[in-house]
Parts: sequence; structure tokens; C-alpha cells
Amino acid sequence: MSPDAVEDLRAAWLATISAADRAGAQLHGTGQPGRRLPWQDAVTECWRALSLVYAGLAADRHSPAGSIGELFAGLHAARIDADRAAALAARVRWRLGATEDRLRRTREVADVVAARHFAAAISRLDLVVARLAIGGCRIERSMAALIDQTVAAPDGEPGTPPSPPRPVSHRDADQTTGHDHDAAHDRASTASSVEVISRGCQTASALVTRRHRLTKPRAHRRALTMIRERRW
Amino acid sequence: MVTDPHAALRGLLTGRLRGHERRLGRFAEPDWQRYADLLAGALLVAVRRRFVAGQDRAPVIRFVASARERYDATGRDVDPVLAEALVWAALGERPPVPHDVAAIVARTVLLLGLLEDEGLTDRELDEILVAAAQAAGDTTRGADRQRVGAPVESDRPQASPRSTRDS
Repeated sequence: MSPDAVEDLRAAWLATISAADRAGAQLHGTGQPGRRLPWQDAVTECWRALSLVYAGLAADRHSPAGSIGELFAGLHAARIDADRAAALAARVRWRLGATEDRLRRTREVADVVAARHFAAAISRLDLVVARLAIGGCRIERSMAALIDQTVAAPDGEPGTPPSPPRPVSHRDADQTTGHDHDAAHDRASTASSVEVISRGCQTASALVTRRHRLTKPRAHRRALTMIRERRW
Repeated sequence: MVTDPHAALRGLLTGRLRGHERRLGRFAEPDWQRYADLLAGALLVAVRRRFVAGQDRAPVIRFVASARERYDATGRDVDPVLAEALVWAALGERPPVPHDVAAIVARTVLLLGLLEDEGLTDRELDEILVAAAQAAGDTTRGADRQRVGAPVESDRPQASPRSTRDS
């Protein structure tokens, strides 16, 4: 990751923070008077900022490395920004949830419509928080890679390019060894391919099951809300 | 005729996870191979319905991010570089990625993400699975021909992209 890419990344996190801040301020009615800044725009701005983050991460995969110290400092700052942005997004989400609940209880048609909009915003903010978490993990991985690199070159020399990502397949890994090893490894991989596929399927199945479990309670909660509304 | 790997993949794609896992538990060695081929074929077909060769990288990056956001809660289970490589390989722009654990996981997540975004009916899903079975058969035959040294003209099915909204 180059210093420029880190700066872009940091700018994107800061934009996310300011967007979340403004959304929060707007929800509390403390925004600048006369200036139209609906919370929807703030949430959209969060998304734009996140797309910048992802563009920065994509550039990071192909950009040359700079000085390790600068990169580490930049990544550390970006990680702190990510944490702050996630905390702010969670706070805004909580406020949105409270407002949605209040509006839903009024039983006015306009308020119920507004509450649905808030519910949509909550879903989007959940996605924003999830993306922030993924971006944060990516930054941690980059930092871990830098630490490994520093340990490998303790004399403080300017960083060599980060180590390439692990080979994506057994075949790629084979290319680094001799042809004799190729034949033996191919035989071994044929024998273990069923185990590999089976392990892959089990891992994927666990991910899908976890997602189903995470999304199920929402439907359940919506059903409960509908029941409560009918009761009132 | 619907084979067990076919039914297992269909169960996964329609959200019948218990049935899917039950079928996986009954798999013999050829079934695992067939399932992996079907999975790769289905991803090939689904990717080509959404993306086209030579398009911008941004929509692919965004799609991979959205799929990881839905399924990869830890941020470490699906390698984004590998996932993007799988998409580009399906479009014929990169060399194919062989089966390994990470590739199987990424293929599954990408396929579920693509099909979920499309919101397919059961009939459309069946059509995709039939096309996937054909793609898997073609790929297997191509691999066999390569093993005996015969030239392979094309291993890919002519699946025309239905939508180019992400191009």
C-alpha cells in the first residue's frame, strides 16, 4: 500500500465519520438552520465514502510499497478512524431505531411511512457497519503483513514490496517447485481432492447457515412488531 | 434425471440447508467431484449472466465486497483477491482457478450472491443448473482431452449475458 493510497483511505474514513456525525446531528435537530441536509443524504454519503475506501483497497493490492514506518503510521491512523466511524455509525443506528420505534407507536399513516424509511436506513447502516468491519480487518491484515516484513528486515531499510498473497491453488504452489515434485504433488492432490472439496463445502455451508441464522430473527422481529401493531 | 450432487446444490441455492447437508453426508467420492464441477459450472453461468468480458473492475470489486458483506461475517473466510480471480476466470480473462478449500468457499459464496441478486424463480434456477451441468460436462471432457494431449477449442458454454447492468 503506497502512502497516497493510505491517505485516500484515511480521507474516506474521515468522510464517513463526518457523514455519520451530520446524520446524528440532523436526527437531534441540531443541524444548521435553513440548510437542507436530510439524514438520507448523510447515509448516501456514508456509502460514497465506503466506495472510496474499497477503491483505495483495490489500488492497494497493486501499488508499490513506500517506507514501512510511514505506511505503518498511516495504517494505524486509518484503523483508529475506522473504529471511530464504526462507533458513530452504531450510535446513529441506535438513534434511528429509537426514532423508528417512536414513530411506529403513533399509528399515524405518515409516521408509519416515515418509520419504514427509518427501518430502511437502519438496514443500510447495518451494511455500512459490516463494511467498516471488513475494511478494518483488511487494514489489520496489511499491518500484520508490514510487521512480518519489519521482522524479516530489522535493519530499518526501506521496505521491499509486500510479500505476494498466498498461492490460490495447489497448482500455483507447484510452480515454485521442480517438475519432479509436480508429478508427486499431483498424485497427492488427486488423492486428497475429495477431502479438499468436502472441507470447502462444509466451510461454505457453515457460512451460509450462519447468514440464515442472522437474517432469520429480523423476520421474526418484524412479525412480532406487526402483531403488536394489531393489538394496539 | 436429477442426481444427488445436483439436488444437493439445488438445496443449497434454495435455502434448504438441512437437506443440502444431509445429501453432502451421503456423498461418495465421484459425487464430491461432480458437485465441485457443478458448482464451478453454475458460477460460470451466473457470472456470465451478470458481467461481460473486458468490463470495468469496479463492479466486480463491488459485487465481491457485497457478497463478503453478506456471508463473510469475520472478514477472513472469503479471500477477496481469490474471489475476484474466480469471477475474471469465469469471464475468460484469467487462467482457471483449481479446486481448493478457499476456492470452493469463495465459489459457493459468489454463486449465492449472484443468484440472490437476480431473484430467480424456481424455473430459472433449474435452467441455470441444467446449463451448469452442461458446462461441467464440457469442462470435464475438455480436461480429459487435455490429459491425452488433444487440442481443446473451447471449454466454455456460450451463455449469453442476460443483463449487462454492471458492465
